[in-house]
Amino acid sequence: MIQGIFYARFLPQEGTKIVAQSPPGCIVATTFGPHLKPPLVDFDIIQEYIIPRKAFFNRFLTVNTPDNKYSILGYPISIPHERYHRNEFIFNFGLVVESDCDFLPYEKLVRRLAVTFAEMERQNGYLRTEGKLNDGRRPIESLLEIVKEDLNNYGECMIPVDEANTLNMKLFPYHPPPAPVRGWHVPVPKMKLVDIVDPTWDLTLQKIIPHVDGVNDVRRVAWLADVSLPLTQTALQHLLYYDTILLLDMFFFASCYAPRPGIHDFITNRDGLVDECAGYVCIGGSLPDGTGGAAPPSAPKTSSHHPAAAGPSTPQQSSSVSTTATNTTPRIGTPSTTTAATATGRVTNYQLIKLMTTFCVGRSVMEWIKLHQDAGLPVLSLVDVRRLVQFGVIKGLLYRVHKYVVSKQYLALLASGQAHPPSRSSQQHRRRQQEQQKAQDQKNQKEQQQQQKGGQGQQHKLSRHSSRRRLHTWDIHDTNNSDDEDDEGNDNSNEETEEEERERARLRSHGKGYEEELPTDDPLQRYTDGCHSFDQIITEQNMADAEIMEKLKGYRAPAGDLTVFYR
Amino acid sequence: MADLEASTPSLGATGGDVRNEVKKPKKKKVLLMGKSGSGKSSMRSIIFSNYIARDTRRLGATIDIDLSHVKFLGNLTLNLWDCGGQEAFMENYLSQQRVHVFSNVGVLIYVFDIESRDVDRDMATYVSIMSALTQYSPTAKIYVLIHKMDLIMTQVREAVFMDRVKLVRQKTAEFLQGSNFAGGDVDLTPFATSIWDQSLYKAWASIIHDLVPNLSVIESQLASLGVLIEAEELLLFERTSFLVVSSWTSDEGQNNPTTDRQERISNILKHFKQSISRFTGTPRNAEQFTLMEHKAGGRFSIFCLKFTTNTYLMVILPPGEARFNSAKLNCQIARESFKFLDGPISAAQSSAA
Repeated sequence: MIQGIFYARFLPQEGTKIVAQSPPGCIVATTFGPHLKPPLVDFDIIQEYIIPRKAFFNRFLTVNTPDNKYSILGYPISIPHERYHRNEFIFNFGLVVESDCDFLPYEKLVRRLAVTFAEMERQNGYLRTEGKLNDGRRPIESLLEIVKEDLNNYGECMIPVDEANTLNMKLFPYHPPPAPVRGWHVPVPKMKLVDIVDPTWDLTLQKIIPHVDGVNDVRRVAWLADVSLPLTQTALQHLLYYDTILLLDMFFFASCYAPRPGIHDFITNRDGLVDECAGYVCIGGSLPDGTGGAAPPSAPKTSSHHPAAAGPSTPQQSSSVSTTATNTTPRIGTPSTTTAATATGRVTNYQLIKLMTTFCVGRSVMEWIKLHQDAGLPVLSLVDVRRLVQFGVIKGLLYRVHKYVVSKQYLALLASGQAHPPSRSSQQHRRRQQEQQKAQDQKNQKEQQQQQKGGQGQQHKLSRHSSRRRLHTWDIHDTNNSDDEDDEGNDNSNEETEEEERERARLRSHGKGYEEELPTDDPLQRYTDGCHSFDQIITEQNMADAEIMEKLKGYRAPAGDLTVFYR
Repeated sequence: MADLEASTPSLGATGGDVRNEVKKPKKKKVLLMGKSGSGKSSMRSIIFSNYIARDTRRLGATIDIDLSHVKFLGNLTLNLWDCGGQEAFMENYLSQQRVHVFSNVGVLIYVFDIESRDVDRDMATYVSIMSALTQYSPTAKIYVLIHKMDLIMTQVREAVFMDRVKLVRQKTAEFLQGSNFAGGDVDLTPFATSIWDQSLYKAWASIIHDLVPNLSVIESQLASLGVLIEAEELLLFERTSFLVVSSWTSDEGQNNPTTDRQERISNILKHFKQSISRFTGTPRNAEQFTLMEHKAGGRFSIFCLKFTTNTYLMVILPPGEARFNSAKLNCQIARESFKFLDGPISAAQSSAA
């Protein structure tokens, strides 16, 4: 909110002077008109920053009032020219805003005002002749008033200054650049994007928005919308920029969650958090009993009931959720198809808190369900587990315990430079290797690995196509390959084919072979440096958790080489 | 930067803090004040920044206060406050920044514009400045420069100057009487100045002359040197401003009819330096020459050499090749005993003892 706007000049005789201001009396008291309010700032104190010393000319300048209530944003301009008395024309168009607001949108305005009027002064002496010529132009005072009113009321203004110039300004919100969107993130809309999207929107956005439902991960969204993954990521990043989506992790019944300090708020039911949670997660017996029987596969069946699942972060949004139990009041008379301990269909707060607090490291969701079912609470028929977890994560009550795998052997290779971490330049490794005695052997080994890796990729692709059960995300991944460095090795090998050829020839002449010590036929190796979570492996390799574990167990590696850890 | 901050009292200081401030050893300020456009920054640029008179046309208005620390003779640093003279600033100095500006002042140089139409107003401002000064720095020396004298016709110049000085003195006296100033009479030195002739150098040389702390030592040493080399006149210049710091004249030299020769030489040397800088492309503040000599046949000989790090020495001799050459050599030898000019004051005192 612009509290005041002013135009100040440095006059050779009088010094700094406020020539125009709006509202009147906001900077200096005026001699005419009623004084409803005292000036917002003490001009005597602030004047040395309105027209500052030379070093600050032609720069954006912000000054807080001594009481820290208001800030003055200005851009003092000096136009040096012989035609001016004392060789300079010095002025400043400034804004007074509350000091706790975001200055960035206003900074743009101040800069625009400064640049526009400086140019008009340079070209035809607009400011110099201000108030002296009677050519029917709008006085600056009223110009400033319109600017202030329009910006405060409409966030933008379009004011003709003279026949050639118009002040076009708009207050743009500023957000920091959003975090990168990864393939294994799950975008959760914070508002009903489906309802506000219109045909003028970006085509990619139009395509993907129906699939952003808080359940599908980014790769799945891309596949469902038939959009390439990088485009999907970019589009989602735009939504993220405007704070319309959240990014969560994928939900698996095999994954672990653990409480965060925020859980205290939940236990004490601060701001009715538990009630809000109940409204979001309770099924209220609308699901048939059967679902409670067995753990669903990794994509939860329940998701089909919530096509437009929305994040519960604001009351308005949570009310828009089209679930069967949106209201927080206990339902009376719902068909008691469950064997629940509660007759109302709404889980009691005690139970919800108990459910939320029993997540811990080392206990998968599946085990958690079992724990409660054994204790006589049919979790699956009472609450939507996925939503419960989602609620916990969004509200900062829970965090996902990610699963990583580390291979000592691979780490050793990385450390000694023998293995090929995708993100680092292979040139350096090469040089370092050449210093070593066994350089050639290892080199050759690595090449072999690379070649086989490439071949493996091809194979994989084919097998994917034949598999009906899986998504075709592998396909997407392989062709676009934007967010990871998988193909870098191949690129390098292409660039360096000549060199490799030579080395290979040298090797052949040496007549040395190599021993195969490593499980080189495996695309998972590059994930075993402990920096890649299982979510990433699952999406990129299109394997289930169990499959990955199976594959890892199949390594011809020394016992105890692979470690799976959670954090 | 460090000593600039140390010498600047905090803005928020009130009257009660003044006593504390005085206790700290701080460089005394030299305040340069006067109405806007009266020529304060111009004269500062000419004296300390090697500007020549016509360069000052390019100067813009001074915003607020331009602080500068002018190194003078190595051991003397002038803490020069060039105060913008716009009405808004003047009010600010007298109210918001009163303590900040007027405490710990060593010298006030107040510049009057002789061309000013509103003399009464100028005087009113001057009196309020004086009241602030006598309040916070009662011991400050006051120089009044009646500036832009070149705009007054030569024949009436003296009269106009005397007239204006009389007015200033009268106003000062009135003020002192009215305020019951305890310090008695205020020491007020008037000068008529113009940037277009040597009068500016005269005024500033006299101001600087008063500020040099170990002047008597310099003077006595210079006198003995003069006697030894049989010179008629010795002039010691400060390196950057080419102001005369000290001079010695023999009995014979006293007969010289040109009384303003020192300022003229300052002016000439300054222009000389300027020309060298233009033709050699060296910066204006660089050392432009180390030795200049001129032999005017049977009338006199003159040489000017770089003396110590911060000074130049000009020697005027009676004619004679042998005397000239030996004087040159002797001056180079004499450098050793003038080294104190570059050092701190304590060194100067020990050499005097």
